[in-house]
Amino acid sequence: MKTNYITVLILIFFISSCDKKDTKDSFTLNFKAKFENQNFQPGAVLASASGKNWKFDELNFYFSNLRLVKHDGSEVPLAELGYVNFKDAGTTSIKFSDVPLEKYTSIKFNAGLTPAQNSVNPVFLEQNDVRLNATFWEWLKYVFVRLHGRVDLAGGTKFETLLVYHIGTDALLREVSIGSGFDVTAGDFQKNIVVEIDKFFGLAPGLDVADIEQSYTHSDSSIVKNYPTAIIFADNFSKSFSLE
Amino acid sequence: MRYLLPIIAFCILCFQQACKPDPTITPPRKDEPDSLFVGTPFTLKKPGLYFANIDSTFTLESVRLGRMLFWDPVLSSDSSLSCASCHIPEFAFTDQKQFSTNLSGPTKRNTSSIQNSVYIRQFFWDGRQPTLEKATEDALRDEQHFVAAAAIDKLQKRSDYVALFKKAFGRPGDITEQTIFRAISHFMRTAISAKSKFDLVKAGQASFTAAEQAGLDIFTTEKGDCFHCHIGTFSTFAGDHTNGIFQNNALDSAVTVADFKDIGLGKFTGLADDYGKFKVPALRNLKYTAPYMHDGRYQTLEQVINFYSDSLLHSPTISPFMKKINDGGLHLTVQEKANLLAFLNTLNDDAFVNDTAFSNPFK
Repeated sequence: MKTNYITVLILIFFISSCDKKDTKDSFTLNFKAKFENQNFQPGAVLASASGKNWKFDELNFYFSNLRLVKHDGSEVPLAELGYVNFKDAGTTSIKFSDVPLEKYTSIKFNAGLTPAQNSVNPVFLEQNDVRLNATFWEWLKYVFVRLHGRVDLAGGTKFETLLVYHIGTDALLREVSIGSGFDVTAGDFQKNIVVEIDKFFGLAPGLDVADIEQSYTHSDSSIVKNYPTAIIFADNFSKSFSLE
Repeated sequence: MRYLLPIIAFCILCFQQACKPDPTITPPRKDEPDSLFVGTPFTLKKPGLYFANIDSTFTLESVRLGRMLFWDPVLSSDSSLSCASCHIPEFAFTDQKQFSTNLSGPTKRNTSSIQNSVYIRQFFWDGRQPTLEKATEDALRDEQHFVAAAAIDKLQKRSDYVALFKKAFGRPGDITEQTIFRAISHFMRTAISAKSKFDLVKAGQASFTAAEQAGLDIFTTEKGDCFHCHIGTFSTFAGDHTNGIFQNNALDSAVTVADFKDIGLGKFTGLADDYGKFKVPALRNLKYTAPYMHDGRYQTLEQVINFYSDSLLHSPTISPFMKKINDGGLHLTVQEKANLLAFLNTLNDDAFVNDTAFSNPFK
């Protein structure tokens, strides 16, 4: 009798110690930036097919409500808020734990902060809150997207046309949806999110950087002649993402 | 049983080893009571936002010690120069000279103020030091020819310093390079200017004149667009990490980066894209901190405003915020210039420059 009990216990032990099929694992998103298929590096010259030479000093942005979308429409939340700065390699790769290993149709996120996130005065933020990477303007709140650079319209090396795009305010928050179906599998699955900088300017109706009012914006709706630039940039920025 | 004695012997041996004092730890001085090493906690009030991560274990004694070391030329190799020789509190911690001078001779840079350093993340015009402690060390070694052994020897002969070093940082209370730099940094961090008219207006305790308000509008709108470089979340009106600590403000003409006479940040980073960039200075207490720019070329604020209005010069690394470069400048009217000047003068904090908490403790 004693031997039978021991046998059963041993069997139970071995059965329970067998590898179970993992249902969750880590999932890493890598953010990359390109300009007409050229990898973006801050300060590097990027030649465009239109004959211009571009140089961008920095590109950074906030995303919010990042989630995976399943075939049935339900969503797996990944992050409420994040910050990507292409001058800081530590921010361009984000690892998420315990992501269900399933088939997904797309990845969705907001390019910018939700109204609730955008309304919090930095006085109330914890020291490690990513929103402290951006200035909080009392009249415009946080800057969602920041692109600084310069362009030589003639394809030379003078770069005399200066570019500054600061996108912010609740009105310019845009949703991004990318992907056409992928499986998240075990073993630190990775996907690349690519942002194509040339699309900021190239997607219709486009931005003509030779026009000073289209070479910059600070998203101030009270500046009537410039605000359309902010809208176009915000729209194009949200459409410039793709999934590799 | 026969194994019991060896086991006991082994245990005794282990205990003996464990009880041996660690040779790296200085045993507490049994002849000095703890009271000699207990300082008075001091909480540094930091109005504003985005202050840098700093050593915040202040004591009244560390601040007092730092103030003494700040004014005492004892740290310099020939005991002739102190921090206060160039960082004079009544001039908002500058010296009102075009170029600073130290034991190595005259430099080519204007003395930076150390006011509001709690908000600063990189120090010197070229940003070569990341913390105030490192900047203090740099300045002492380079400018005062500080030699640790000699300076410590001088300090140890002074009973007031010996006592303060103990209370400032607790046991073991030794006078070391690091405690010297730390004490001076503690003192400098107390130099916070936050009671200007601008601050009072923000707190609802004062109102701008029409000219000052018009000047603020120029400063914070695309008319002047000063605020994109001079932000500091309005704590310092300096450059900060959100929009750029360093900028090229179109001060000098250059066709290529090799044309810059002073490459600024580029000397520290080695990157051509950083040539000609300098730390964006704070705009507080401008009434006291003339002359202006990294090389002190402008004696008056009127000259500075005229530069931004009409004399911008192109170079390869010019800040993208200098949108009016192709027009040569902002082209402000006489009235607009006067209004901008009126606003800038609201950033002066007379109480700060007259605060006896920063004055010479030996007088």
